[in-house]
Amino acid sequence: MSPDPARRRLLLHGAAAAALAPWQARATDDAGLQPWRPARPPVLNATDLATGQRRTLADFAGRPLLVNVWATWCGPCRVEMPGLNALAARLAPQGLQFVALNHGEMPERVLQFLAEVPIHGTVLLDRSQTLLKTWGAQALPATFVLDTTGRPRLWAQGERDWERPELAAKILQDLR
Amino acid sequence: MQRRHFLQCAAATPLAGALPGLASAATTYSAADGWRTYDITTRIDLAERTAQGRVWVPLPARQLGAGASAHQHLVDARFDAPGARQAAIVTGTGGAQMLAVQWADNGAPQQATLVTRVALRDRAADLGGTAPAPAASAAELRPWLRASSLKPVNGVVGETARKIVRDAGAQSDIEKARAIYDWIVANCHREAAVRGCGTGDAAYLLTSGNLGGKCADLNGLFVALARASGVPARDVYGVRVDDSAHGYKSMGKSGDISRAQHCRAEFYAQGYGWVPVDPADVRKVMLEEVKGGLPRDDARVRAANAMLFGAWEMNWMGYNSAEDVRLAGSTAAPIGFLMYPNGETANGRLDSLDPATFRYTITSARVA
Repeated sequence: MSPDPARRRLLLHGAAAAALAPWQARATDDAGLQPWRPARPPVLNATDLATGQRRTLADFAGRPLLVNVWATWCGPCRVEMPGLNALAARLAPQGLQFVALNHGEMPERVLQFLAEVPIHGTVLLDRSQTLLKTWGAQALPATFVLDTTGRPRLWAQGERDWERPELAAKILQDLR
Repeated sequence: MQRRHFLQCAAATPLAGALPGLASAATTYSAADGWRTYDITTRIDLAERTAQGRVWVPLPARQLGAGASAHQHLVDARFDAPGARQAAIVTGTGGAQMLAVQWADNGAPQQATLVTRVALRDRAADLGGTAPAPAASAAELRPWLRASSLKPVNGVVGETARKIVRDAGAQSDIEKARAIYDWIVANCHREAAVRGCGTGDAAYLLTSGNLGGKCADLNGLFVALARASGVPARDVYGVRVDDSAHGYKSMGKSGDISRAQHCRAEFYAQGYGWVPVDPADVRKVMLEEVKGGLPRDDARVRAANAMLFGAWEMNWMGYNSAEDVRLAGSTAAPIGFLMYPNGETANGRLDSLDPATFRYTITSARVA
């Protein structure tokens, strides 16, 4: 899969879609991953869809972690999910954990989506819709990479073609 | 201090009540005076039953407009919440009235019904009139010049407002508001992929790259830009209750209005009072009135553009203009605005924009 850049979309948390017009293209590379330097250390407080248990970053400590924030109504999230599944499978030997964190929807709606679009990772629910903003993003989809000690390393806002080898290489290089 | 209307019944009894202090049922809202009356019924049936269930359902504003310019009266409000631990009509942030219900028994249905009767009539500001409107005090207008979490008035919002006003050579309140309205219609668009009415984040809209959104985004941007220009302005969050009598399919909804929430805007002009606008609906006509869309120079778009600067067809009712609303009893952060039923259970917040999984319906029936 290799989406045209024009197809990339950002969906505002809970809402708006926005294509990056050339005149407002950001200084960062919107096809890749950027260094992630949040103002505060990231905190995760979500519910595991499968078990109903609360999950925090401590549950994922010791191995690198990729967190993708998504929603069922977000078209670009749906488009990039197969690529994320492929990336997770590709980097599993290196210990990468894949968390797909749903932004604010009910379990019933998420389960309906999973019947159509499988996710090969741990599905968590952020019913409070707070993580996206506190981790520094404004739009869906958003993807974050933390290292084995839970430190923030990389992030991306907007749809990506996660099957591009350079993205996997970037993650491996940064986590080395 | 805000007046606080409060009605609460003891636990373990069938919880039902009505909002006191409303206009007598004997008061008539005559069709000859342009009034139409509707019953709006909100039914809640929580799909996720836990021992900590709460909902907050917005009530229509008691009155919108004053004197001869009144265009909305809340005639009656009654609720029924059998099995609830607590149910009350309360007044929250910014005067927003809501039905607040709490359940503690997860073994029984968690249901509530709110029936409101509203009288509505079309609203139009007399922008060419010679009789000046009564002036509002500075204290009354001050809240509508302030920034909120979704409507900053500095940064990119302030810069954009100054550019719009400067480029248009606008001096008066009306000229500034008109310039902002025209700029939004010309530069923004309705984005079908946006969920609900949008988040209403004015700064994000201006920096997102394509100026696309829905009513809370576009009309919220109008309000933020007006405030940044020194013109008092506010959104009025509400819901469509009937089809449009002007023949616009895209500007009306009747029957099941569970997803028909719509936010409008108004600004205050010295000498004219509060003036209604709705640039978001101009863009809605362009996108949705006919398949494939309409250009700006289409007669239907031009008519909507002219009408919606200064007039609202009242096939819509307003809830409130509150911003950064704290929900009584909630431990979660305040919400940007109160336009949908909100809810929480022991497992977290319910998805207000998904009536099917929250489980609520809102219906409208014209009664006179």
